[in-house]
Amino acid sequence: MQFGHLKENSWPPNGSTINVGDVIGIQALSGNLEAAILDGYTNDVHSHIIVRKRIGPGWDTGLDYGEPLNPEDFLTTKFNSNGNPISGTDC
Amino acid sequence: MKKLKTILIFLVANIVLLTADLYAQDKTGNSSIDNPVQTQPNGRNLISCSAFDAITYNGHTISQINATGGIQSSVQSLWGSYTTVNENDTSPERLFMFDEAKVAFNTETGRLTTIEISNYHWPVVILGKEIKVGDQFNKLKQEFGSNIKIIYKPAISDRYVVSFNCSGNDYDGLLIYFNPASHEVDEIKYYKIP
Repeated sequence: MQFGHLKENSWPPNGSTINVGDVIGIQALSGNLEAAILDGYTNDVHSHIIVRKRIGPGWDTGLDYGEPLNPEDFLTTKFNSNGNPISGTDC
Repeated sequence: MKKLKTILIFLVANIVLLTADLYAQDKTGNSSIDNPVQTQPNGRNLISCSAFDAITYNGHTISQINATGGIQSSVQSLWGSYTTVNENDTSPERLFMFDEAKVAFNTETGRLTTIEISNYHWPVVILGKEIKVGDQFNKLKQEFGSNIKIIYKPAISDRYVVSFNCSGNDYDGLLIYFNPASHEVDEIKYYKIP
């Protein structure tokens, strides 16, 4: 699982165990997000969530990043457009 | 002796005033620097798409850079030896670091995603006009017209930018970042939205 546009090194080290309530990253304007907002392509500070299933030796070859999957299938808590949890979807 | 002291004080005061006056002049010889944030219209500067595609980054257009496919030897043939090349282990990106710039490609598509120029050795040429890090904002006014637009969004960046793009283009752009104190270009960035 990958989150885009986070603050550099704000996430736990690889291999860490994540528990409910842990901070897994801090939103930032990294990548091309700052430029896209300045240029008016988007007004929203946002994060991309990317989930890929590892296949083959992958990851360290720079060529194999795995099959993309639907992130919603892995998110048990849903949020509405105001950022509030939707009732009944808590994990 | 008292008269001599008075003359000396007068001379020193004049030297201080003259120095302050020279300091206030910018590099183009203008006696004052207007703050572009207050004087310039807001928005992107639209040029024709053929002119946008003809912009060169240290001598090469985006299509020429894309033609390398992000392959190391091909990138080196464009700009010479890079300092380092890194591949992200969790996303398909290959990042070339030069002394003066960073250039990133998506390794799945082989397409350019970002150029960040931080040194005057890497000029960009827009509509035949050369712009580089260190240039004064007034130079852009001279080259592109006094009504050149700027974008300033202090909640996002303390720097103001001059953006060049073409009509209908909703996937990439060229931003020229200015230091708000010196009004000099301190970064030039090409970016592409995935």
